[in-house]
Amino acid sequence: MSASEPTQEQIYAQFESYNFDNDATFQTGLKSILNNNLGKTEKDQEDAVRNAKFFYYSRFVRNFDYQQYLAWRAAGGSGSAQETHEIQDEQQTTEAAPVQEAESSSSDANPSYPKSFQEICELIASGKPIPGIRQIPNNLAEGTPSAPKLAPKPKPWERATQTQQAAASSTSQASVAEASS
Amino acid sequence: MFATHRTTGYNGYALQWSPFFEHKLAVATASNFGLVGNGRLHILNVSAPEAQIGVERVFDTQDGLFDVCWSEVNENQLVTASGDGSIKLWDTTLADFPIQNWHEHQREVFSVNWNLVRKDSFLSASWDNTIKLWSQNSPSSLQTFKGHSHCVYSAMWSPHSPTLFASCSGDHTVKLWDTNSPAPVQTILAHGNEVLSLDWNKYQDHTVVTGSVDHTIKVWDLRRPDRELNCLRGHEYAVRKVKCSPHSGSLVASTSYDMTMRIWDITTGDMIEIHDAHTEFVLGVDFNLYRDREIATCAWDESVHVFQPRCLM
Repeated sequence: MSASEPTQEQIYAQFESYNFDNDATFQTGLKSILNNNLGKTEKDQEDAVRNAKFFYYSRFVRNFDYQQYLAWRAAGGSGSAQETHEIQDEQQTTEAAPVQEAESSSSDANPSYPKSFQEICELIASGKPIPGIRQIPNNLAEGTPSAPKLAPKPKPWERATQTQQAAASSTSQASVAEASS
Repeated sequence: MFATHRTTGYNGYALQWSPFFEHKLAVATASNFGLVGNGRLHILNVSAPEAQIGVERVFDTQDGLFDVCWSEVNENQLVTASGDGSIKLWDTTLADFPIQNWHEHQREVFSVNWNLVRKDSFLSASWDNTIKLWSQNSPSSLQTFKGHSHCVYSAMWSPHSPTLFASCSGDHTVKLWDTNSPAPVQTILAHGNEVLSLDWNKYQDHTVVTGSVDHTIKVWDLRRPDRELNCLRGHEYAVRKVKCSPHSGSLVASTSYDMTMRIWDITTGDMIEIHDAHTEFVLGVDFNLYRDREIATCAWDESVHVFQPRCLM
């Protein structure tokens, strides 16, 4: 197996091209991470996202040394278009939205998320308040819940079975009648 | 042609027709695509044959709603699954707030499904990797089913058995469970990627259909789990929901991040309908139980569509 092991650079490249955008598990985790980092600086949040990606990838996909990876990146990395984009990201922190980053770094195998989806991700990542969230009291309804008035209705497939059974029983009755006549 | 209802400010996640009233449709939605912010449950009235859509009631929640299912025993009640891990029971005769609120799941609840045979309980599936069994009269869950190693996206009762249910997960598997046993009775490595949705065929015992991030839909005979009966290809992105027709054993509807709803004939493997009028990811789809040609879809484009697919005319 060791002969076919990828090089460190290949591992880094695989990590950077990993489709985090399409990974529902990661996206969930990311949501809570971003929530936990609301109010932090943009740089901190970006670091949190990158750390989250490393943590997730190293745990579920392939383990590698993060410090060595960061050193490799700092030294210029692979110089790919994606790398350039991420470096730009570090300078233009308004583009720190993880979804946008993932989208630009991946092939057209990704579905295109709505533009406003990215805008919300940007707001979350930059710690800006999300407009329009209302506080709903965690109350239960006052008043008496309704009592059921209707009997459960047979489902179409239950009706079909009943019809078959009825047909079968009427057939057998008919044959009994025939036999007795 | 189709009727449209706008769920302005809220992105559609799931919908279900009432098991009691042919005109009632419940829609679970979340603001900001479910990333952050409020949820809203819409109770819609859909008149026939023109499919005019009116709003009977809306309920607002603190966190986004990812799924909804009607009670099978009380025509006014229904259950929702929340992004904050809570499960709420609603009574459409009472305004504003739920009549019950359970909070046991540690993470997002992604599906709720009411027992179809005994009708005395319902299931919830969560991103905390567990499935829970609930009774509406019990203040806490009756049972917790552990076995998946990733998010559980859906847990669905068999339409033929009071104790049998199937689940699908980010761990790429489908598991079959019996409420009499805490461990799964069967595990199928179903897809090469996350399995987001599953449903039971109503007319063929042992047959389930799955939809996956790998873009495919697979049909399974649970008695022969080594290989699928059929693999349906056509969706261009992840398949988000599969739904077996209540009227025919051969029809399956599916929704996808490719912004379409499609209908398939699983006996031939042919795609027989494509609904491409939504402008964002399509998530929810359901067949009307009592108007046998009517289907509803909901999407991230903040709209609900109700229509009669050409293939059913």
